[in-house]
Amino acid sequence: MSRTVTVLRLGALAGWLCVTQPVRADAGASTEAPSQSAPIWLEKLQAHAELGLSGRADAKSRLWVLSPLIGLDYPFSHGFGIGFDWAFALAAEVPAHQNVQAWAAPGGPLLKVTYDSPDNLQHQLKLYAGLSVPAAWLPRDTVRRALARTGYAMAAGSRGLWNAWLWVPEQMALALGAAWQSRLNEHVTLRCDAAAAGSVSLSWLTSDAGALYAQLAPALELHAAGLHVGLRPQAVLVAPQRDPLQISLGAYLGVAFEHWSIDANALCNLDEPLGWTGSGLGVCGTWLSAEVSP
Amino acid sequence: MMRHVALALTLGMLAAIGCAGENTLEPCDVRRSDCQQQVFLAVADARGSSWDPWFPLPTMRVVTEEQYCAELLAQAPSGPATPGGPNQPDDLTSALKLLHLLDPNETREEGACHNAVFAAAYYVPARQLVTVIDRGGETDQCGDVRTLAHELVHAAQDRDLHFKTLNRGVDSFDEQQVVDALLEGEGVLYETLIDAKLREQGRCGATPPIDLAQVLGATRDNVVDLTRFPSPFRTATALLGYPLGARYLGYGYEAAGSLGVRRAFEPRPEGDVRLMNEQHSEYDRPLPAWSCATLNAPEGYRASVFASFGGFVAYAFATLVLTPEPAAWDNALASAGDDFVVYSNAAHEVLVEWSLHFRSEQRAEELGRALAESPLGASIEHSLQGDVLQVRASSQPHAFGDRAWASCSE
Repeated sequence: MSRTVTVLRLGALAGWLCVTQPVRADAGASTEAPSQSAPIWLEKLQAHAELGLSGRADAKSRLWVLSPLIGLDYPFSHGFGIGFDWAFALAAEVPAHQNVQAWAAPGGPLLKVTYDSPDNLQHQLKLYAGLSVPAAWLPRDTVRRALARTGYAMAAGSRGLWNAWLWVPEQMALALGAAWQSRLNEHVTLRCDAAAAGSVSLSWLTSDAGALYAQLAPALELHAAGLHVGLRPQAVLVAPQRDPLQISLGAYLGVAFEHWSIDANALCNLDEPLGWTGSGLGVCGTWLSAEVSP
Repeated sequence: MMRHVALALTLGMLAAIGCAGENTLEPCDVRRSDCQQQVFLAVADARGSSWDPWFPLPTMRVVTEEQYCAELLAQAPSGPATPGGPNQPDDLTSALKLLHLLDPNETREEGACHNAVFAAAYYVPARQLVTVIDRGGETDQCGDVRTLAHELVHAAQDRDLHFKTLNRGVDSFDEQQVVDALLEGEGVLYETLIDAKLREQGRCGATPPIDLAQVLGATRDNVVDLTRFPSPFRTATALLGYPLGARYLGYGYEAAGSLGVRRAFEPRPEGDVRLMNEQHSEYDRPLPAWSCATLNAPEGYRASVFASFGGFVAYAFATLVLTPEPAAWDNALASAGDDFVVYSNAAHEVLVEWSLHFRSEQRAEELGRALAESPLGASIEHSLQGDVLQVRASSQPHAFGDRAWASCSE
């Protein structure tokens, strides 16, 4: 069956950014003279957001999956902070000759404790430990239940299974992660993201088992004139799958403004089960993501 | 300026997205792990779902036909053990033999192993286990892939729909037949689509593919001629659901792909006659409720089995007395419900009474007349009340004595 897979991850909604931006401008000024209009805690908030759009089609119907993700981090003392990441999924199946079937639900929000290394222009390390709240429950009726499973799976699959536990239904997960970056010179930065997680099933209905995850993604990033481009190979290990390793290759192009940045990314899964080799499902995607910080 | 150009490029990338993938399943050795994974992905692709990391591939094993038969025998129901002798058959089996729906000479081993003759593989939800039956002989990788695909559809159904949920509210044999037919029908539908794709790509020799049109046109003739088998009950209940369920879901697939298939599961068809009928409209009309008065158990007996068998078994019974076979099919299509009661005594002697309700008096008369004229008429009594045909049989001569027939009404 021929199939088209497209993935878009739009960054923070433009309107949301417009609202946030003035706060950030105030925050910039507050380093010398604290603003009367914005509370200090608000000025320290860091936010990131994505909006994914995945699609697949065959001769009979087309499926669309929106997969937004929002996150907030609040550093409060000595580099430690708290935060959360919360993913969502919305799916719509559009058949040629019948009514549209739609479904929407949240993933499990990951509540986390974070640590950022002291400000250093050359090296930076961020750590987190988090626990997901099991908020992703599948509907009981057979039609919406299958659509929901596919929605969650496509949201995770279109990201090369990166942070797949954010979309896992009817489970809770414990996750540990690290992000390191080193600016080698004015034009070159090395990055490396890694995380591990374990999840357990809470459902008496679903026959899923829990899983263990390990993921690693080094990246090489080049900077010039406010732009940056990067190459990011990604490996995600999921146990106890028969074929536990999913490898993908991502590339991104970004631009940074004073208080926010936006990146355009492209990713292709390379090997089975989601990749292009063998009998893999051939899932690729591109996306835009955005980050707002003081 | 540069930043704005970059932003424009970024948005341009978003507009230029589009990747096409093609699942490239090839015939392979289904005993190999990588082959099983390939078939699993092909099933996910055909069912319109994505692979997800939270559902491990089911465990798989290969057994011989003899091993499978031994397992079935260990699970087969049996009556109480007789001191110094073999287990007696259970009451239901004894009653079905009295009506010749099961071969009266069938041994417990033959009954238990009936499925082993037909089955190529099976899925056990409780253990998430797929078992492929190795019959020896030449390996047919295309056929094996098709068989495995069918069983992996069941694994995917279990993941997506969960069998416990599907079976909730099922309280009659007839309703269970419908659920089983839908489950097996989906397996047949997607294994056919996968097989057709393999053959279209020239990967399975020159044999022409079975396409969707053939699935939609499938009738019971495609898999079984019940009159060839001495136990039509087993054959009908084990095999009819495959082509009929596939055809029923195939209409859904035609309309809306895999979504149409899932929608065909809810609301569930009411009774398996709905699956047997190709036109549907005539049989979609609701029927008035009917019932036969509940009789007291004959003296010394107690009622041990109550069942409503549905159209598949009505068809199996009709094949015993109505020829040619299409006459039996047409007769069963007019089936509108049934009540089956078995009485047994302390000596494990069995009486059976079965009331068959039809949509017309003509069909009830037709079956009653054919029964009277057949050799079975000597051992199976019958009575006609309008559109209800009642039949009964006993393991003991004259056991019914002057017992009255139940009074039936709508």
